[in-house]
Amino acid sequence: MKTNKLVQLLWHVAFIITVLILLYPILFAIANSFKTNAAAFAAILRLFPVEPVVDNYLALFDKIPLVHIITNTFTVAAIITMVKLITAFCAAYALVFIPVRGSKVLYFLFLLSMFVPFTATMIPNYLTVSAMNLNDTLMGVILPQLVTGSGIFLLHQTMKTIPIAIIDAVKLDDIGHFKIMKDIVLPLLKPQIISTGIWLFIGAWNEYVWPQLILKTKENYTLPLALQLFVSEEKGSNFALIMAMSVVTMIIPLLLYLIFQRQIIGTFTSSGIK
Amino acid sequence: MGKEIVFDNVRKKYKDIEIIPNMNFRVEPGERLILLGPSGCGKSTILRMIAGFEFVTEGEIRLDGQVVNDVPSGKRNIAMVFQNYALYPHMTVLQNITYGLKANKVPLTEIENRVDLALDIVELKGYENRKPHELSGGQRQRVALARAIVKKCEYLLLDEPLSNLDAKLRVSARKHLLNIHEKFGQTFIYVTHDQIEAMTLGQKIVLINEGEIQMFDTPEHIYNRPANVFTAQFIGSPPMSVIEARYENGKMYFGNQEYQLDQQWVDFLKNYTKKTILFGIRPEHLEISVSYMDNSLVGVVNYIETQGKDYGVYLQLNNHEVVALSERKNWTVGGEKYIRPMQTELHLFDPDSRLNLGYPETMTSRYDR
Repeated sequence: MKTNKLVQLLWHVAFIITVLILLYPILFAIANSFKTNAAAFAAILRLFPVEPVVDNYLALFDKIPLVHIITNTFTVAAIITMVKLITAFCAAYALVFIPVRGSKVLYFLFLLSMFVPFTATMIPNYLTVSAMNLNDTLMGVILPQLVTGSGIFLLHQTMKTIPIAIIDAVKLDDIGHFKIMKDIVLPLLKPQIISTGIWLFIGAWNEYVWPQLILKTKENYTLPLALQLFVSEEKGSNFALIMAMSVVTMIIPLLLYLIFQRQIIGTFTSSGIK
Repeated sequence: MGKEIVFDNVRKKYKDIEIIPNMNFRVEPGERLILLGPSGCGKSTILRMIAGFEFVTEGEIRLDGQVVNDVPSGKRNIAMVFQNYALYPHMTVLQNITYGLKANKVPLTEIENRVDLALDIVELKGYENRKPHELSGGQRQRVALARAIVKKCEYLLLDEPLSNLDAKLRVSARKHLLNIHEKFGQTFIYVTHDQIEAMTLGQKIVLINEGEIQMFDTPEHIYNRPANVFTAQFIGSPPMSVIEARYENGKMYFGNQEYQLDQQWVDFLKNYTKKTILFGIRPEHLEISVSYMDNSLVGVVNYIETQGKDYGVYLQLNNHEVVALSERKNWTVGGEKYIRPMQTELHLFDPDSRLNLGYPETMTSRYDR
């Protein structure tokens, strides 16, 4: 009994240390974003600024079209997430519930696409997008990213856990695939769809290399590009300003996660059976 | 009112495995038919082919005279109760029952009437707003039943619907099922491996083994006039003892022991002199006694099985084991006991074809068809 408690305590200590390590860079950025540049350089490790200032955030609006850039980032990430979810959901549904000759080969190909590195498709995609005159447009960023092999994989795995009898039962009622997806599969997969969605959104939000290739003018930039702008243009000299930009960049995915995480908890997919 | 179902030379293959080589039967309109057989015998496949979840490899399935091989499930006018109920977990009881009707644009007042009646029959009034995970197993089973009956289909397929219920609930569930059949008169196709369910619910039973029909008849005939050894031993518990015997001079020889047959059997077996015959006797028709009986055999008790009211006594008779049922309690293992088959309850089978040899004319009247 005693050793059990000791082990538990040790685990807790380990967890707390891990959380602190993960949390530290975020706290560091937030803390320094509220300092003047001089104060930041004077005591860079101080987590609670002596005289908090919001000057850095205000300065961001002067230096770059911040609202525009946030809107751009959100538009790109939201469209990519939505369309990827829709295509992945439909593909997974067809692969699981409408087996035809070749389904397995197709699924295998989808999986294979997960293992093709971005760098291998970057040049062909860039040339295609350029040929379509979509350079320096948000559409150019979005277009090659509307389907996801890993999303199909994730939804396929969870969809397979839906008992086939449930789908058989609906089929007996002469109900079409669209309605089955909408009324049965979608509600049952809601938690998985939300978690996959958050994961896709964060991926799209943070994307750097591809938008960097396509977007040229500041008005079209996304947040990671804008952040890089400060680092390279000012040689990192205005450190507090960069921290403020970092906070802006990470705050929206963080809020989205906090809003949706409740929805992920609580699922009872299997209780209609038995 | 239910309609007819016909299987006409139906064959089913999965890749190279032949599940059903060739199946033929006809279900009368409004009949309660039981598909009975051991696990993996193909009975569920038959049900799934009727429902349209599985394709037919060859042959025809006809519902009400119409070939349905290529008709999708939803157009076959079929309702089904699944083994695991297959309720929609995110919907309430009421939504589960009405989902199909609403999707098919049945008028709302009509839906209300049907749901009202169905909930009444399955005794689930007051549970409309519960979700499946808030219900017990028996209640879920009844929701599945209600969902099937509100469709008012001509065919009701039931895939081992009671197998997840405890013994007491099964009895009340059987009552519900019979009640439903009486009210709506659908053609019932009921899959089970439980012979008691088959006997109590079936008007006809199709007994299947390895994809082939062993016997298709009324429960009474299947029990009393089994067509072959498989049927004889599948139905009844403990199963019928079927042992090898040699027939000569009006007597059955079990090794060195002999058993005198009466005149009706002697007349019946006149062509079987000096031949080996499979001799079948149900446990309840094998008298057993500690004291000598006229024309009896001697067996050694192997073990005893308590069956509630009766005791199953397993005895060694030469190289074979036979079972007798007895109300007497204190049997001891190892002792020699006297056993005597009842002459009117014998079943004889051909050792090669394993088919029933038939019965003397004087005995046929009782179960005549």
